[in-house]
Amino acid sequence: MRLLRGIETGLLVLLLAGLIGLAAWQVLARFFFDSGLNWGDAFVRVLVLWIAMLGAMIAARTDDHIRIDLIARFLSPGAQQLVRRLSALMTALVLGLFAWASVGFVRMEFEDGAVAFATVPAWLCESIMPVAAAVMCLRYLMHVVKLPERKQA
Amino acid sequence: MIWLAVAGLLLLALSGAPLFAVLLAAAMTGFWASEIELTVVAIELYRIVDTPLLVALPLFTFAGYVLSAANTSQRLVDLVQSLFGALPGGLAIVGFVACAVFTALTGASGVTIVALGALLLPAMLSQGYSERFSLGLVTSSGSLGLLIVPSVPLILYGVIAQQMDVGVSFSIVDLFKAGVLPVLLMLGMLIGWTLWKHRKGGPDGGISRQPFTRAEFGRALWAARYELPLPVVVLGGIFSGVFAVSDAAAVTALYVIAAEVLLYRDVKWQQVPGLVIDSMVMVGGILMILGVALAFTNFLVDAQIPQQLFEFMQAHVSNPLMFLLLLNVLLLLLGAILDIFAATVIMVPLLLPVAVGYGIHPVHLGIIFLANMQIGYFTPPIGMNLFIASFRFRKPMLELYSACWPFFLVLLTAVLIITYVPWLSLVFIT
Repeated sequence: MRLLRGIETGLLVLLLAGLIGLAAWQVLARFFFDSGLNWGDAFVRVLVLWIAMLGAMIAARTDDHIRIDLIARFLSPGAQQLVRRLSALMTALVLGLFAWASVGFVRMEFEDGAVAFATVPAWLCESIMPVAAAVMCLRYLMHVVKLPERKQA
Repeated sequence: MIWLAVAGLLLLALSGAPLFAVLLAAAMTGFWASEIELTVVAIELYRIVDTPLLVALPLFTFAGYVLSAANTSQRLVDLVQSLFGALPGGLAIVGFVACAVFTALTGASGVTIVALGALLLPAMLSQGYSERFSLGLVTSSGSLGLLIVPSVPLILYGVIAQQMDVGVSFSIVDLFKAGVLPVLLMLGMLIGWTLWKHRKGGPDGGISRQPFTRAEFGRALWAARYELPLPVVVLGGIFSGVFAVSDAAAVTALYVIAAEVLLYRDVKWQQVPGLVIDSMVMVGGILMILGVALAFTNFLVDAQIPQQLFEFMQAHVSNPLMFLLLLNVLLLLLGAILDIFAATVIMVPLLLPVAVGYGIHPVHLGIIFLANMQIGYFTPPIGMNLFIASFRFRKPMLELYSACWPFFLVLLTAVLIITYVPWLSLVFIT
């Protein structure tokens, strides 16, 4: 798990740096040389997907995702715990299903041999989705066993 | 069966499950019931990649986090104060303007209250404003810049509205232009009310002002020298059409890093990875919801839900003005209980077709929507900014409620004017 955290964090910082660098390069190149990498814009958008997925994975570490917290405020601490465990279980279930569905999508694209940009195959760009869903599913399963501390706003 | 599923999902949402999971479950249930392969949900999520405008989201958000970590707030307040401090009610005006600008730059994540509140509150107290008024000002101004470029909720509304084909086309720049007059109206009314309230001075007699001196202004200007070009580049670039929004975002992110880390050295290199993580966790949360909501919306459209909703509304509410009033009430309620991003992603696909059916321009709807959400931030019982202010300033919630309600009334009046005078939002749009 610690290794995974390190990889996530490192990759995220690297990808955001890449995003800023490449996106800014595209602007400057278009501005000054009237050109740019012709696969650059597509690559930038794939980077956004990867960054979003990594961000969502990291948010799942402490169950830091956007939620409506309406009922929980009016429950006793014991009932709150139970509700949180239950909703973590449901979340894990949904994520598991989604991971499976997105594996299907990636495999479909792999067999099609679709290309995302330059010579990069589409399935490679998409592969972050099942990975992210599986990791998040795992994390929520762990939350069922041991609830994470909530960050205070 | 279908109602059982809906009830279960609602319960799941209200009991605090992550909203993306609820929407994902909803979309998958829907597709499963219509016997469509679940793979389609993954395909929909991947549509994030087809939306060039979304590139702006991580870039602006990251830039906002870096600016929040730097001393930008101090320099901004100093600069605005050296300009307006000499006016009657000067510091209050400074507060409104600085909060609006800072919120636009950093996104309305509550950071305005934390960063600017800490500067403004003591300053206002020492100049003779009452504690109640000062608390109300910093709490209610924490969402004031929501309609100003490059606020993230504004961009998000544009992304969603443009995904939907409602027959009225508009550009994202139209949306930015539309926010200008409504924001000025809100600022004008807040300032007007402040001046009227303090026409006889503060609670203990006079409110002191800071005289205008060229030296002071020059010093503040010089201190902000690396940050001043930023709004010029962003606003000028976008409005003149030189930059696409995502271009401006890329330049902003790069520039902010250069200014705060290399030139001012407010932010150390070691802090940057932490800022990356914090900001991208937020972006990941938003895009996750957006992605699954795209799938969910598609299901809704397939099932003709917006159309049915519109027909239902038409049968009961024939008057567009009546519809707008209902819309205001609904959005105020939602704004108080829902996170702004979640509210945008869930409600806009439902509301937009209905509103367009009543002859409301999508740009106008966006401004109405966000203006309402802005008030929702500090609407009791659970407006987010009330909690942040309560936590930050160590004040009980009840005290904050009573401090905020006059501001609430002023801004509510402004929102009603914005709602019923479309001209304010649409005057610059051809």
